[in-house]
Amino acid sequence: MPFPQLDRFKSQDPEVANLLSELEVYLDQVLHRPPLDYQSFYDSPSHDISPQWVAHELNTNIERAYALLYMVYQAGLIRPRYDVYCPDTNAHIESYHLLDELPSEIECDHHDSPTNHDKESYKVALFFEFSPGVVQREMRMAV
Amino acid sequence: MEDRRLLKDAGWELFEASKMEPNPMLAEAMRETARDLFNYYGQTFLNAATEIHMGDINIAKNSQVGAMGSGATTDNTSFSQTNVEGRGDLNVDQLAKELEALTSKLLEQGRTPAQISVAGAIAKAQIAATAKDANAAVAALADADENALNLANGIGAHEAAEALRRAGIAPDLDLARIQLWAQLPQEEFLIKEEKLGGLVQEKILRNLERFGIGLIRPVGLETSIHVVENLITMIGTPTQSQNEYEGTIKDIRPKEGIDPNTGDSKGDLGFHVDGTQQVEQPAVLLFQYATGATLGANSKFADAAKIIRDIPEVRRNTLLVNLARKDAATFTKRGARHQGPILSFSETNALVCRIRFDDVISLNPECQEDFELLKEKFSDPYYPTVFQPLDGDVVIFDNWRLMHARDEVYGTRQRHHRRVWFANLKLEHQAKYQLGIRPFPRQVAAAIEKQNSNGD
Repeated sequence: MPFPQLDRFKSQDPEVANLLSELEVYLDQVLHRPPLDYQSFYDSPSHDISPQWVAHELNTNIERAYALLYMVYQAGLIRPRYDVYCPDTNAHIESYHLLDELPSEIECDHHDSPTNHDKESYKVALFFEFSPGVVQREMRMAV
Repeated sequence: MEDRRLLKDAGWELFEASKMEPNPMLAEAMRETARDLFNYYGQTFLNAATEIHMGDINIAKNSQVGAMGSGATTDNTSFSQTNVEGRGDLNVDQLAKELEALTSKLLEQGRTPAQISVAGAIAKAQIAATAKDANAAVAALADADENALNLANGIGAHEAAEALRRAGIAPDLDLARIQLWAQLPQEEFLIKEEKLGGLVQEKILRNLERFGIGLIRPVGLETSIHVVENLITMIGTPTQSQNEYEGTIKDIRPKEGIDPNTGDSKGDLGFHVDGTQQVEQPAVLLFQYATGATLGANSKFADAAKIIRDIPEVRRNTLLVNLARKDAATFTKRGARHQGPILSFSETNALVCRIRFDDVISLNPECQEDFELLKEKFSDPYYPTVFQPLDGDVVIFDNWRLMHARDEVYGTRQRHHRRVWFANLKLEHQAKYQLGIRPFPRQVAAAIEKQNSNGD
């Protein structure tokens, strides 16, 4: 049972319990992917938790994946991450952990000349990543 | 990767999915996620929707959430089936801002299920407007209501008001197809025509419905009884008698020495409606001015619907209900007597105003105060439209809504006019054109009806 924090959700509904158990297996795999040092853990896309991939792994729809990830987030195991991309080049510009942090305008250096994109134009992708507490605990256990 | 627009859409997609999700726990988690996204994007709907859901009220069936962008589905087809012409020149950016403000204002007013449902429709429209989809925004607003339109007008949200109107939301006056007026300029209701054909008929009826009055000036036609007969066939069913006069067209030639409570008098006739002492008050009147007076005899008309509407709402509603009591007034004239409400419903569900300010009426003391208020209003020179008819003019007006009066007749020339009372419009017109005092809330209508029949 890798994530006992999820037990309170599992105890409420058998179907949710089954889905969360499957999700736990997947999350556990993601958590243990290399590299396993704290400094580079968040830089590696291998540790990103994508709702699409969760849906794929659990053979369910994206909405259910969001719902399950919301429970995992409520349990304090993961946090959302909003990646902002250039609307013209699709290149990554910046990442934020709160929707409220998304700027009304962002400077983009993926153009020949300095360009700003406003909130209406830049793209945002939603991912989840493990909470720092979970990663630190995992690092300690690995040591 | 999802782009920002789809991230925003995810809120709606999740909310839609939550409605179909059989597992309540997962459905709740979907709504929670959606709520976070909505909170970020400035929406309040999901908070409201969640609150309603917690109260076991299914807002979804009212909210008709539609697909935004890609992929989202809805189990309610009215959105997708609504074919609304989006106005090309709607400023969608401005609209999005105004709709956001409107949602907040609406929710400040209250959070009844109906208000939340409307706020949801507006929030949905805001998302569409933000996505620069004017058609979808207008379609979403079809689930809003008149209160939203009034509020939009009140806060100066003109683009939002325009979008609401395009979505088919209409203020009560529009729904009642009425224009309340004070001092209505003659040219507004004047119809000058050489032929009294089908088009004229429609114009007359439209004016009758909208203003309560139409003035027809036949061009090149002799001022004869035939014009009147022709108009009768176009408009409605004439009564077979007018007070003691037997016949459909009464010739009226004012004389000296007659009490000023009848058209036969030369004296100043105060505001009144005709036929107050009859069981059935004529719905529409027609006057043909065959020969005008050389001096005086100005015709005056006042819109009782406007006058009543100008009374503050709480006072107005009390007055409407009180004057609807079945023993409100007694009308006595030349041996005819009728006791009944001042305000009552006709068989065609029009609100009829039966009132006059002369010695024909005697009041129930309980109604005196309300009567005096109306009398004061009707004597205010702000309201009436006054004109001296030309020879040959025909005026047709709503005797359930408009009150008429006439100055004293002076001069040596004999004034002559013909009068017709219509029991109602022709059957084919009754379904198309509204008469009477309007609009007023349903609750007030119910109270009036109850008062009319109290004790029966």
